[in-house]
Amino acid sequence: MAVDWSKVSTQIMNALVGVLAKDWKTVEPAASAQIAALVQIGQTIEAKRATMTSSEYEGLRISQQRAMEGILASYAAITIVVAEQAAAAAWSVIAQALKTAYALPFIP
Amino acid sequence: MQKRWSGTKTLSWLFAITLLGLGGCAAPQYDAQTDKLISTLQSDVDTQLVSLISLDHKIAGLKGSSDSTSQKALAEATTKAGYDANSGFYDKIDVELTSLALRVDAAPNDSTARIDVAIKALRDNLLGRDIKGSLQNVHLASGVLDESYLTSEQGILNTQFQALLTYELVLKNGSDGAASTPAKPATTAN
Repeated sequence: MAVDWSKVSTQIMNALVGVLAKDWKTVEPAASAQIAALVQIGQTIEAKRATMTSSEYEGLRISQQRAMEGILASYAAITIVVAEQAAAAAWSVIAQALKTAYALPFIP
Repeated sequence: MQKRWSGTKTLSWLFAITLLGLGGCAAPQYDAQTDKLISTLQSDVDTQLVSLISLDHKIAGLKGSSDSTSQKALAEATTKAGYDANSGFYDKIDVELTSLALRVDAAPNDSTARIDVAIKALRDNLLGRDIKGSLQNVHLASGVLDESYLTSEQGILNTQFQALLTYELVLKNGSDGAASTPAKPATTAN
């Protein structure tokens, strides 16, 4: 069954709200753009799941997390640790959605 | 591609405004050389990614052909797309990233520490044989990079470049006193 990316988008937002708590409102516009980017990457992985290698998947996961961390950590209110936790929480939603739908071997 | 990363512009402005709104003793000033270094780096990275995407296209097209000419062209394209043939690119952007970081750190201000974080994140996404997830690391592991990976990576890197370029643009507009500037650098320099 294909992934419901609209639902995933909402789940990512909820995950970020869970980590960022009161700071969510401050970063919401920037984080929303990152959520959209994350969903696009998830859709690419879904489309290319048959040929994607684990190193390519890991590369996308890590670089997207780094990019999100860099953006979130630019806010004075958000520490690097919290930015890392938020980025990890957001990606875990993508990973779980893909894993549930396809049991992809490259997603641990 | 433009639609794909439609949130980038908003994100970049917010990033820039945030960096500028830090308050403190030294106001960030526009530096044309920093701006140029970021643009050059972005252009070099994008050119390389487009070239690798094109090679992957070519490889995919040639894989179905069994004649000797196609096989030879396939071997050549595979070699060109491989890590060894592109190691010079990684050396080049290593130099460019170092130049950029040095230039930014040469005139410390309120935003320097956070710009450094952004440049470090960009460096880690591009370089490092042993840095997991870097383009260089994935290229080494995969040999030939797949178009879908490259396109996604291009999008991720462009969000990072755009944030840095927008930061410089905000500084530049602030220096010029442009009415449309969304945020001006702090004016309380010591």
